[in-house]
Amino acid sequence: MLEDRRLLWRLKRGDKEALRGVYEKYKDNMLTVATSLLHDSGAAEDVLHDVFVSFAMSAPRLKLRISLRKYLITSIINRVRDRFRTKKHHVVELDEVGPISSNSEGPEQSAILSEESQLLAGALARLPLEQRETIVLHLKADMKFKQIARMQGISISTVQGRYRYGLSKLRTILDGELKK
Amino acid sequence: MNPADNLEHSIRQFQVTTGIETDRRILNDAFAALEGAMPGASAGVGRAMRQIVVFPSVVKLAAAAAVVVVACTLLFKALSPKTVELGQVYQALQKAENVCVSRYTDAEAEPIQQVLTSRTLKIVMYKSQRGTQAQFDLFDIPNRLKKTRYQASDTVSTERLTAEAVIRAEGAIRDVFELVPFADMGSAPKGSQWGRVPKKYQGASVSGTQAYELTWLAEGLFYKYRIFADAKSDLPKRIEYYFKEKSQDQYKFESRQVASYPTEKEIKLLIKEIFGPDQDRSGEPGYIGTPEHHGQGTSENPP
Repeated sequence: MLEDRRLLWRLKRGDKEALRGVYEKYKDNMLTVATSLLHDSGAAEDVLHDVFVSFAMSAPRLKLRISLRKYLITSIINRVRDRFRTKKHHVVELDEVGPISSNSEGPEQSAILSEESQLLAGALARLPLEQRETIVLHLKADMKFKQIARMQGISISTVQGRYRYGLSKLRTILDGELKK
Repeated sequence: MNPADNLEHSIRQFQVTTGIETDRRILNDAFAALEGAMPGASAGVGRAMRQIVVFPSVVKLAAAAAVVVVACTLLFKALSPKTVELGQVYQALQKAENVCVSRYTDAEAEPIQQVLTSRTLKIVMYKSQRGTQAQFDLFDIPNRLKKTRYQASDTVSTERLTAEAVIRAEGAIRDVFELVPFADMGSAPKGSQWGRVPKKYQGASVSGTQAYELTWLAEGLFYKYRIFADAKSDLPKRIEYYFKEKSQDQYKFESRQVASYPTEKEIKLLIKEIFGPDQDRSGEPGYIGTPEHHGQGTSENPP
């Protein structure tokens, strides 16, 4: 928190090193959230790019009422939702989830995932978006159910229900995958 | 481990990491966005220098008193060792032709990034390190080319620089290499203090330098910028950043950068070593790019 205040102060003065500091600190968390929701590493990187460039553009005038991390994660969620809205993102069917796709080529793989992560990401992709979003927001963005409820405009009990059902479904999917 | 066993823990641990090339693309665009968003972004050191020479008119008596003060200051300076002011560091950096900056965080022995900038050759080269993987990116403005090489590979990929990338690379060459804490001296907050650091408090020892500190308070935090400036050229050889809360006694170390000033010949040799002989600068035809990029619109002949 203290470090974020310091980075933001420097950022408002146009300090590129501070911008790099914010990026280094939060990029993986932001990309993980985007990848978990989109199940497409290329699209997730595009979302990370758009959010961060937009953040840099607004940084000199930024007045945060929430933590910097929450601000960036919420921006990622909003951008992912926009993507689903405008592009009617492909809904993944239970039997068609493969490894996370990416357009990246060359000697360096753009987004780096372990085998276990691939498995988990694949299982997450099979959940309905609202359950997936709730799980990701709670576990990857450390948001409380109350905050998620406010963000999604639904009751806390609905959020808790989505979380519970989501985890249960995820467990079933993963158990099934491992028995194959 | 079966991720279903401890699902919540597994999801918390689930992490996707960006690659170096993605980082570079996003940061380049973010830097450009930040530059464009800054109010009065074009004002540079020139404005700061004007702020220093402009002074209010004074009544005769005050002017006379000022003459006495100036005379005393000159006498004091003549008796004291040379003192470097922050403005002199800015001026020295503006004149520097070639600079190599290595960035470190915490106590890492290896730099996380090195940036070599040559104003005379109009090139910027980055070396980025992640674990054992190192990547070199050379932005060659005169030839409008970007060359990339991974340390583990002998392959050099070449692509044409977009107009936007050329502007960004030119901007990187013009600025003061991010070795100073503010875009210009006039941006330092009121009440900032600049002073020399006695040897016993310097921590690091850098030969041929004198250490100075700029401290300032902003939004409840104290900041400290320590610079080891070359005693002859005033150029920074090492800089360190610290910060602390008002209530804290000790400053916390944040990062350090080490700067060196290679000759043009040294830079040419280094580039030759990393990227091979420079065919592109010969002006001769025959450059066809690397096999991977050939035919993908990125291997056009250089001008």
